[in-house]
Formats: sequence, C-alpha cells, structure tokens
Amino acid sequence: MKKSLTFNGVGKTYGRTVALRPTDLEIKAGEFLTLLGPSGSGKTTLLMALAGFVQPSSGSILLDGQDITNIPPEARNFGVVFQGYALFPHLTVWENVYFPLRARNLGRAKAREAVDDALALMELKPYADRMPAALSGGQQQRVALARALVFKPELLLLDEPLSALDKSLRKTLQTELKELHRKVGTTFVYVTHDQEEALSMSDRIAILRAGEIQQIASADALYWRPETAFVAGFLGRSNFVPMSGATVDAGAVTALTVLGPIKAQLPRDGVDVPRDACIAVRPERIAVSRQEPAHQNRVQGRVVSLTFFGTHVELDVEARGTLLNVHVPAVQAAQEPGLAEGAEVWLGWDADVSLVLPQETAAA
Amino acid sequence: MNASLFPRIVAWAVACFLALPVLIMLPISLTPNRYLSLPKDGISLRHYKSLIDDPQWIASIADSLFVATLAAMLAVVLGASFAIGIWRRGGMAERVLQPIMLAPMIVPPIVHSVAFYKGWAEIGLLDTYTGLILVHAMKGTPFVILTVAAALANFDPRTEQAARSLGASAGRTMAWVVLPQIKGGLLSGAVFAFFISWDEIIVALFITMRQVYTLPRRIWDGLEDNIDPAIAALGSLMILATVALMILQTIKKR
Repeated sequence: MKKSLTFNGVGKTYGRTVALRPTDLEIKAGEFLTLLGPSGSGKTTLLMALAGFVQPSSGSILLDGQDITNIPPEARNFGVVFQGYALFPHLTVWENVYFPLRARNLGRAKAREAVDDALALMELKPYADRMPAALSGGQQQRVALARALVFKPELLLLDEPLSALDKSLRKTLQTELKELHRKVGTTFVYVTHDQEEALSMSDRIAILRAGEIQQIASADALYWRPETAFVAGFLGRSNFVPMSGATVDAGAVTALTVLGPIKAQLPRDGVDVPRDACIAVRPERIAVSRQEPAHQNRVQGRVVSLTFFGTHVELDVEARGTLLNVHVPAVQAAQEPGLAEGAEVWLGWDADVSLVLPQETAAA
Repeated sequence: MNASLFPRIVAWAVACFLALPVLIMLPISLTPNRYLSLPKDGISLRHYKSLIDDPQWIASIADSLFVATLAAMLAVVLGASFAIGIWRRGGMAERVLQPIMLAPMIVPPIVHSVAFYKGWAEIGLLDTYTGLILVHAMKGTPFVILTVAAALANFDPRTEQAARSLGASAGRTMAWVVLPQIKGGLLSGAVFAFFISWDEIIVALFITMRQVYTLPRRIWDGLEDNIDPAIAALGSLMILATVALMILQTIKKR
C-alpha cells in the first residue's frame, strides 16, 4: 500500500513561538525520506503533525489528495516508531505486536498469523512471550518496528529510533532498516539529527532549520549542490569565505573576497547572487602543493596545524588572515615532501567546487 | 560488644513501644470477665462469641464495610480522573488545582463535621448512607490523587501516543494502556480510601444517628457506657486479618 503525501503550507505556532513555518512538502509513494536538522528545527513537529498528534495552526495535509488534517491519529493508519520505542511495559512482545490488530477488532486467533509473520520478519519469534523490559535495546527496537508494521500501514514514521543505542548497534540497524524498507515497500519518513544516519539510508533528505525546510534532495545532491550556507555546513564540512561583491559574466561568477578574486558558481542556473553571500568550498576539494598549481583559484598560505586521521590528513592553512580547512588523502600527503606545520604551501581549487551561497536565509 | 548493645536496646524498646499496645489486645480479648481485664483464671472465647451472636455488631460491621467500599470506589473514580486530567494538562492548572484538591487532608475533621452537619441537614442527607459515603469519599480522594500521581510519574506518555497511532481510540487507550500501567497506584489509593472510611469517627458522630451505625461509632458508644471486651476481640480479629493478608502478599511475591 503506497500512498503519496502532500503538505500545503502546514505550520505550527505555540503562542508566539513558531515551531514550524508554513511548509510545502511532497512525500513520494514508497520513498525513504529523512527529516534532518538540529534540535528545535521543527523536524519532530512536522512528524507529529503527520502522525496526528500536533494539530497544524495553518495549512492542510493530503494523503493521495484526501485531506487528513483533522483526522485523529488512530484513524490515519500510519505506523509510528517512537524515540525510546514506547513499548507497552505491561504486555508481552506478542501482545505488543497484536495490539494494533486488537484495536482493529481482530480476535487473537485471526490475528495470530499476521503477528507471527511480523515477529518472524524481525527475527523475534523466540522472544514472543517475554516482557519488553527483558529485551536488549536492539530487540526492543525490532519489537517497535514489528508493532508499527503488522497492520500494513500506509506510511511508517520513525522518530529518532536509533538515538538510544550504542554506535556499533546503530550501524547494524541502519543497514537493517534500509533492508526492511526495500522488503516492505512502505513509505518511510525518518527523523534524525544524525547526518550519518540520514546519508546512509535515505532516498531524499529534507534539511530543516528554525522551523523551515532549507533544502530537500538526494544525499549526494545535498552534499555537492547545497543551496544555503547552513546546508553546506550541516551536512559534512565546508570552508566559508565571506564575499564583499561579485561580477557575473555569462553564469561565471567572480567573487571579491579577502583571499582576492575567486572564480565561483551559483548552486543552480537562474538564481541571482544573494545579497548576503559567501563562498563555500569542501575541504577535500582543495588541493595542496609546494609549487603553484594550475587551478582556477590559487592562494598561498602557511600550515598552522596538521593532524593525521589514517585515511586522510587534515590541515589548517592560514591564507591572508583566513583559516582554511583542507583534507588531503594520506597516500598523497606522504608523497608531498616538506608538508609539515609551519610550511609555506599553495592551495588550489576550481570554479565548479566553490559555490556562491546565501549566508542567512532563516530569519532568527 | 557493648558498642553494638546500646542501639539494639533502643531498637527493641522502640519496637515494643509500637507493638505492645496492639498486642495487649490479644490477651484482653481472651478474658473470661465481663469487663476489660487481663485473663487470670483461664481464658475464654465468650467475647468472640458475643461478636458473632450480637446482631448489633454484625450490623455495624456490615454498615462500615458497605460505606467504606462505596466511598473507596467513588474516591478512586474521582481521584484518578482528577490525577490523570491534571497530569495531561500540566502547567498552571496543575499548580493551582492540585493543592485545592488535597485540602481535605489539611482541613481539621471537626470543621468538616460541623459544615456537613449543617449542610446535610438542609438537604436531608443526615443519617443516610449517601450522606456518609459522600463525605468519606471526599476525605479519601486526596489519597487516591497522591498515589495515582505517583504512579503517573513513572508512566511514559509516549505509550499513550503509541496506542493512538496503532489505532486505539482515546477510550481504549485509557482502558488498555493507561489504567493497566497505573494499576498499582489505583489499588493503593483504593486501600487508603477504604481505611480512611473504615476508621472515620468524627464525621460519623456528627452526621449519623440510628439508620447508619458504623463500627467506629458503635465502639465509641460502647466505651461510653460500659467497657466491653468484645472491642478487644474485634481489634484482635482485625489485626489477625491484616497479618494474614501480609503473609499472603509475601507468599505471592515469591
């Protein structure tokens, strides 16, 4: 059962506090969409509005064109996996999974097959008669998933389901969740503040900040084509160089910065250079050499610090009073003689990796 | 040796101070005499027999059981509704309403008694079961509020949301998820409310006469004219019942 969802200007205010600005959002049938943002960015409000626990102050939510804004949570037929799982502590694993079917007036005998299937899918068969408190965190998580999927919901909503687990278990469960999404084919809407989780599982990621969706795109599009400085900084790392002005010539931008004129690009065609803009460059896209490189942008600087990370070496290079963070693959760094703290080096990068981005789109 | 002896003596002294007045009832209840005394020449069960034979005692026990049971049920319904409602609203309502609802614990019983005597006289509830049950329920409600609020403090509100998202209506969520999880608080609140009523004498003295004649009231009246050892027999039976319950509970927990 795949259905698409549409948010039309859905917003939520509590008194004078804006939790979510009027937001438009299209969730495609069957996709794995992640809402990613720091705490207080409105991602949980968005999810809870979707689940029916938060009544939007404005706008409407449509499920396959049907308005569900005022439908109570129990009538929406969406599975929800809560932070901390919210298993029923007084019921066994089997009864927890049976709960949604019981709520749909299905007798135990009739529900048995569906419950057993859901338990089997999550490899929980041996634990059917245990109480939730007697399970490990990972097992509890799987019970929560089985319970939210057993009634074949039109949508599965997950609110930071992995945040309570330790790191290695999180990794395993990320893979399992992705696998599960492929197997059941239901639309997943996943909320997290962990960018690694978002990058590894999602078809699309919506990045939220201060109650507003900043950008929504696939993981690699967000990483290589961020449209705001916040996205560039939140997903991975970026060097930001403030701009004092720019000249545009047939789509090619030359920005005036403290590093001198820098050849750069706008994130997509048809946008103007924003009023308050900066240049963003990923640390791994900057080349370091002792001789002057052939790149379109070149600056000379001094290595302030050098840290070895196994796969790569991280440098902080000071150039004309600005610190630039540069990642060099360890193999390459080893071939560069004299690359050490205090060394004079050249940094080089091309126009297509330096993006002109608006610095502050979300009003404080 | 000496160092550890002193605290032991104190501990035993305190234990005796607490337990002896209760335990003294056992021998007194077995006295063959017609007045309160320790048995000298042999023991007798005549006072236990009089408890059973005297229809007045049975009637009063029945009255007390009836009033206490209904008062406890009413107190649980009122107290639990309030505690759950206020827990859900939180904020200002909780800070203002909670102390008001706990007021019956603080107001001196004699004040209640006078007030209800006058009030019930106006509307014809004096010396009725309804009148006494209402007052006892009011006195028991704060205890239910406290025990249920304590149980709710350990309740994960997300399980309620989970139940709703899984398709259970608000009513079913209450019956299937909320109430089972606060069962302990409801039960101990009910026990509190029951014994508040079972024990209550001051209000009963004011607002009941002949129609409703609870056990504490009969004991009180009995003490006034002649001191009947049947009271000691009754007390002993209640202690034995309590001990039996406690033993049962301990066995059940194992």
